Amino acid sequence: MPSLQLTGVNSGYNGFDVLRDINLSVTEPSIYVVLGPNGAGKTTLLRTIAGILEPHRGTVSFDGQDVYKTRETRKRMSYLSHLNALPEEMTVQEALDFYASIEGGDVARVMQTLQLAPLGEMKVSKLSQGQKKRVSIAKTLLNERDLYLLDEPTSNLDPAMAKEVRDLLLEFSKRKIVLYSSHNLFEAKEIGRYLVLIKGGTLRFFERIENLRMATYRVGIKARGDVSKILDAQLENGYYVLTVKSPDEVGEIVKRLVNQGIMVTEVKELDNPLESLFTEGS
Amino acid sequence: MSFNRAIAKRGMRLGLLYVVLSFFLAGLGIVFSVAGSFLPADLNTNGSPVDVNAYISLLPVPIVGIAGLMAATPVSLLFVHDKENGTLEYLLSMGFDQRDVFRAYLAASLMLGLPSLVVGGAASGIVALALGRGLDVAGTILVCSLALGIAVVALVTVLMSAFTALQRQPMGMNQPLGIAIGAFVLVGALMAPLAAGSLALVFELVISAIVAAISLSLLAMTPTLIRREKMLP
Repeated sequence: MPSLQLTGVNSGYNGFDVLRDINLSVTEPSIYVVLGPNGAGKTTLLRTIAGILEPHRGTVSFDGQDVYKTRETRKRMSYLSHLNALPEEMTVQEALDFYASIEGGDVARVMQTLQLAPLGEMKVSKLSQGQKKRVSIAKTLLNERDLYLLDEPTSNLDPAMAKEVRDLLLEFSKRKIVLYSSHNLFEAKEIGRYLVLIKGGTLRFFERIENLRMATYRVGIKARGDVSKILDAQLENGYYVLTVKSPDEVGEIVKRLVNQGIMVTEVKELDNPLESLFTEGS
Repeated sequence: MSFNRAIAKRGMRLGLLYVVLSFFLAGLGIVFSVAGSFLPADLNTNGSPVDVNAYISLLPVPIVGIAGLMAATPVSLLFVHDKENGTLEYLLSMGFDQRDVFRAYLAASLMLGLPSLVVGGAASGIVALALGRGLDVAGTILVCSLALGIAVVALVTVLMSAFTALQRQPMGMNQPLGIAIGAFVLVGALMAPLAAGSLALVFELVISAIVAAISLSLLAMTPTLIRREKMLP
């Protein structure tokens, strides 16, 4: 099993520490969502793990090998920058061939996976931002790696393609470690098994997402009939909204409504537990 | 295709006009070679310390050097482009270090610069020989054009890349400083025959050797001189 260790890492630019005293141990193949406000240090964290930046202090090791000092270790990783890193004057096919000429890989396979065949002869400069992102992801997937470092991989993608990419990463994550930075709390909750929260350059939270607990939960219920006579709920955007202390209470509430002859058509959690974690103390 | 060749091909595609114009500039070397061939052999009999014959004969050398620089310029411009679009960052993530990156762009510069240096130097030498200037003059033109041209292209490429990486301003605003320094070296080579007379060949080769040594030293010291974050957008 691949393992990633960060020990007392300070890292940044021009001698200035953006990240401070980061300790992180990742030993299980899975998707680790790196979350944090703008400027928190997410990109710096991914760049440091990728060996692009040399830590000012501490070490980053992958399977016991210092990432910065051993080139072979870096070749076991794949890094997707939030920039696309594509030669704009090339066609999509040429751009992927260009990177394959450096690191090898199966261009035909990634073009098929990312549905790039219709764009193959188009110049990168003529592509939309979403299309460029797809090519950039394809470049990152040219070779199978043990560690994927992906900086906002679904930004600029349309919802259908974003889902395709998430599904692809979920498949990878059964065997590989995927670190995935995102601003999107709902996406993070949907795809991530672990949450790595960075704020102000420090690691604030590293835990399984399912272990996140909130003091209260807001639940929205769609029903045929006037729920407000039975429950203390406010009608908001077509949902009767009520606050409960635990998701376990929801079953009892639905049962009460059904017993009163009200047909419940939808129940959903309105708040994301990541949201409070994200905004707390920022 | 090797990475170096891929960079050279990209440079050629982006700056084809530079490459085409460099051959016209190299052709100017031939013009000076022809002009030198028509000078009377007794130009310096009036006691002047300036060896006008040597000066005119070797004029093709810096001209061909400028042609080489012009042909190689697209690669330096490509370096700016690749820094800004994150390609250099991606190369670092693939296991390259700063020296690998600089070396690749340098090799690509030389690939683009060499044809005009070889064509310009050889054609100027052959013309001089054909017009009766002697094998020594023809050989001097060819050897000096190649030696100085390669050295200057190397120096300017390394300097332009370094200025691009080190500057705070975006989009390669300081990059042309590299060309300015290269032009300074070429002007030195232009003036050398005036000062050195019959020793011009030695003088030009010494300048070439010094410039080449500086380029290689800078390249070797790249990881120390230029931190990795300087390669990022």
